[in-house]
Amino acid sequence: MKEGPFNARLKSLRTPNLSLSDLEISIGRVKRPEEVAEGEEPMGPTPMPGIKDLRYWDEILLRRYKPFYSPICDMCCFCVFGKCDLTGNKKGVCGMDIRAQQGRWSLLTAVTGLSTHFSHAKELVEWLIETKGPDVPIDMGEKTPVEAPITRVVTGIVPKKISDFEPVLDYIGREIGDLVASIHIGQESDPLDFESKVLHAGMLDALSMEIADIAQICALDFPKGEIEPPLVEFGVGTVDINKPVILCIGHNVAPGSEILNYLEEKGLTDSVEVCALCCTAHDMSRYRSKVAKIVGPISKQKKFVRSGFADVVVIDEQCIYTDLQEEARKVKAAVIVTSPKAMRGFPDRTNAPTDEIVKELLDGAPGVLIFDPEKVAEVAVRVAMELAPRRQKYKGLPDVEKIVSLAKYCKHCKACERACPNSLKISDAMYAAADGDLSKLAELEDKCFGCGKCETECSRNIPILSMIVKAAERQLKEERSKIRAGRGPITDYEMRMVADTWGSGIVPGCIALVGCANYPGSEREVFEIAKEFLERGYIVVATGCAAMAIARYKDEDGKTLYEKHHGIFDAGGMLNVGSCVSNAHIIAAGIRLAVVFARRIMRGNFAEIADYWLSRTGACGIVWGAMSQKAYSIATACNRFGIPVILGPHGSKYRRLYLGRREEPTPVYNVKTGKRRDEVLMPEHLLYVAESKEEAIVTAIKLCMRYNDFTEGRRSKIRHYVDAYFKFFGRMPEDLKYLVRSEDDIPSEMREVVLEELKREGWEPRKLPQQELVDVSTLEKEKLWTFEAMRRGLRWFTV
Amino acid sequence: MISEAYKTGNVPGPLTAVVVDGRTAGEIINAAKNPLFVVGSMLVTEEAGGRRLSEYAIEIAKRLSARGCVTITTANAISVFKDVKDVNTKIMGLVEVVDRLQDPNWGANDKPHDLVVFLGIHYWMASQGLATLKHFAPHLRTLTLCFMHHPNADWSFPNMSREDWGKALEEVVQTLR
Ligand code: SF4
Ligand code: SF4
Ligand code: SF4
Repeated sequence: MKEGPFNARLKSLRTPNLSLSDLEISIGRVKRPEEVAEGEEPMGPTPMPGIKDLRYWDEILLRRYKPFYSPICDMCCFCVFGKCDLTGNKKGVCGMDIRAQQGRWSLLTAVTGLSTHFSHAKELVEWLIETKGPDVPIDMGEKTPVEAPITRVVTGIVPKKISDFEPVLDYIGREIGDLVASIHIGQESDPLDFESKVLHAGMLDALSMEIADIAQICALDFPKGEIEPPLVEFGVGTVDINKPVILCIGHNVAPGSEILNYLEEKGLTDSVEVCALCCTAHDMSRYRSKVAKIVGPISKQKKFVRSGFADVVVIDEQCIYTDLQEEARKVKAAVIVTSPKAMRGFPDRTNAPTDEIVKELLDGAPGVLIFDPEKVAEVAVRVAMELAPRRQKYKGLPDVEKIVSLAKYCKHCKACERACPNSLKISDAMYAAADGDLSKLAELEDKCFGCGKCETECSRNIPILSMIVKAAERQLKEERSKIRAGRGPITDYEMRMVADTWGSGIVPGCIALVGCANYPGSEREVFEIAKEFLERGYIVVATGCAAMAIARYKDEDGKTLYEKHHGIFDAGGMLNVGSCVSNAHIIAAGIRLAVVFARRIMRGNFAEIADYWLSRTGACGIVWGAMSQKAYSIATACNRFGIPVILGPHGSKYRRLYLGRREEPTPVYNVKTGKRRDEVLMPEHLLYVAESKEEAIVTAIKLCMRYNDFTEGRRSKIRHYVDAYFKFFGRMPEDLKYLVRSEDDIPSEMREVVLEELKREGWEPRKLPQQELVDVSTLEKEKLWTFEAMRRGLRWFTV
Repeated sequence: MISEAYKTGNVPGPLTAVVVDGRTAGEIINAAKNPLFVVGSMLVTEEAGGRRLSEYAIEIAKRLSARGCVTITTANAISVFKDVKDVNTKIMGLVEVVDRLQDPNWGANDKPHDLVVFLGIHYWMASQGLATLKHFAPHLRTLTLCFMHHPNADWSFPNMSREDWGKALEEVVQTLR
């Protein structure tokens, strides 16, 4: 153990809010393991790592999974030396080439996502400290004694109260500064060093998400890992439009929760309808599951607002169409914006008297900006109650007759189709509509992202999106189902129950359906992917837009997957973990497994924990509708923790993947002896793009395989892989020779066909004792800090 | 001749594809020593000129197989080759094959390729794959046979109707040796 890094790190820990004893850091440097009190978990080698400290881990990842670049632009216009053409092997004036430029874009994208979660977390923590005090205990319930696994792993801090997150936020803020500085012209130039920083940004993103979600769970009393959280009403059809309707949109629960409080205080809960879109909806329903209704994901923003159902639209932050306030004004709804990050040109009325603001909005002001969530609540409720009778559900959509005449006006130039992210067949739908058949327009609804881009391209100003929404009006009104409220953490208790089967591969994997709603086809595909894995006995966890897409559809028995399946983190469980920031709990699940199953040290021990994820823990993220910078940083967070992720086709426009090559063996080490040997790369990729739902399913099954699968576990994974191949493609996979280690890995019912295929492929069984096969790490022995600490005679209690 | 990209926003840079018709496309394939045919998910869903797209893909793949060339099926495209004989196919993800094609020595049939032909791949995935090859595989030429114009290819059809697409694909098939 070197002395140096500790001293360097100390500097970065000096902040006005820092309580050294809380951080378990002694003056001058971080405690060395031998100095930690007996029984206390020793600190690992990298508490609060800087941008250079985990480069060794990133090198391991990036040697295995090389960055695969797909430039979406051959130019660089980043500084006024340029604009530079970087096509092929040309360089820019500054010396930058196209590969490094993709690395820089990758970093820019990841840092944008990270900063968004960081800023969200910071705003939440500050607001909660202000309103609830700094001493709100970090208590995740008795079943979850490890309260903040990512915070422990990355920083070494064990937070006891909400204000303990302040030094962690200070740390993230400083790191963001270093990351952004690396983007400047004439700084970083090596693609791999860019990618190491990207991975650093991802890790900090996971930390930011964890802080945000734990803070709101503890301070607002959200569900704490409940296996049966309450069912929440979901869908456009659940909104009672006969009442005044307040619609909240975005990701920050502060204004929405205050609206719910205000209604309770005034006894108006039954008089006003409160519904929400996107992650704000998840979080409001975690706060008051019986009151707040979830309309849907981002794809419903314009559709719902245009329908004219909402009297007041409250906008907070992230992933909200930047012209949504214009849409609201068109249907004469009042707009309140609430975030310093999205002020949208409105006057700041935070300090104005409430009566005045209410009057302004009722008199038709285009919108107001109010930073104080309590004031937002009072204004929203009062305006909604007064405005609703006046608006009488202003109709923003054309009627059927109008649709037919508009469709007749279409010249079938297909400019709309070319502009549509999914090239939806609008022209065909217009032909049918012109003949009075609106069914084709209606069919487009669940494939339509609701962006309105088609309309901006139509030279005849045909309101295509409005026509789709009107045509689908009936199905939208009938859209009524149930979703489990976001449950928050996977508990340590559940982990104890599942550790043996998940850790050995007998539970073949955990599939995380996360991210935005930019699906390549119907939203239904997410439901179908979830259903496929549930029926195969995988654990399915979901967050954000994806969790909502799953709730939208019902199976043959008329039930949503949330109603059909149990909510335990175990085989066949269907869990809504919560909003985007709840993704942290999915990453944390693997940390819990490393502690429960293998008693690995958590605190400040990033690389070892990530190696555990990578080499032992069967899981795969699927971001089928990837769209945002946050989705990229979340995927990158998973990647630095060793979790593979599959993106939908639009993800190819992120410009960078991490791909492995199965035919190139990579070094692995025996965790006990440190002996090195070469092995088939497993999992095969770290960040992959699939083109179809079927490809995503078979690839996810494969990416859940791990070096350390026990025989029974690998057998089960092979069974699913072969079975899914036959189901979707009608044939054997061609890469079994890389996946089957010995004949024992082959399920008995398919033994003959698999062996025949293996023979054709020239397969040879690995000649290794069983134990050798399942004690594998991608880290060299001395980097496995748990073993190193034990060798040094340290003993500690694991929670 | 150049064409506007199918996705109007897809303006990558100064180097853009040359527009070709079906016959020229067929001749380009004929002239290549070891063309690689890569087909994608649209084979399952699309029609061209009143026929299933997969029918054209299978005909092209058969002719290429007769020359010892390979067809890579990406995504779920393999499902349309299920009962087809005399076709040499391999299954790979699109990004997996594009990744390997950056290596001038790699070949799906163990011989290096000089031409890659795309058909029926999701527009943006194809576009991004072609961008990778444009920048990082200078040893290769790329051709797309989709109805959507791809500026990142060396040669591409212009934007065309499904009817005209069918005719162009028919020309490709007729021209192939
Ligand atoms: S940053 Fe470099 S490559 Fe980009 S415009 Fe400036 S000089 Fe050109
Ligand atoms: S852009 Fe307008 S006119 Fe052209 S096909 Fe689309 S709806 Fe019709
Ligand atoms: S609103 Fe729908 S149809 Fe129009 S461009 Fe967006 S996704 Fe396509």
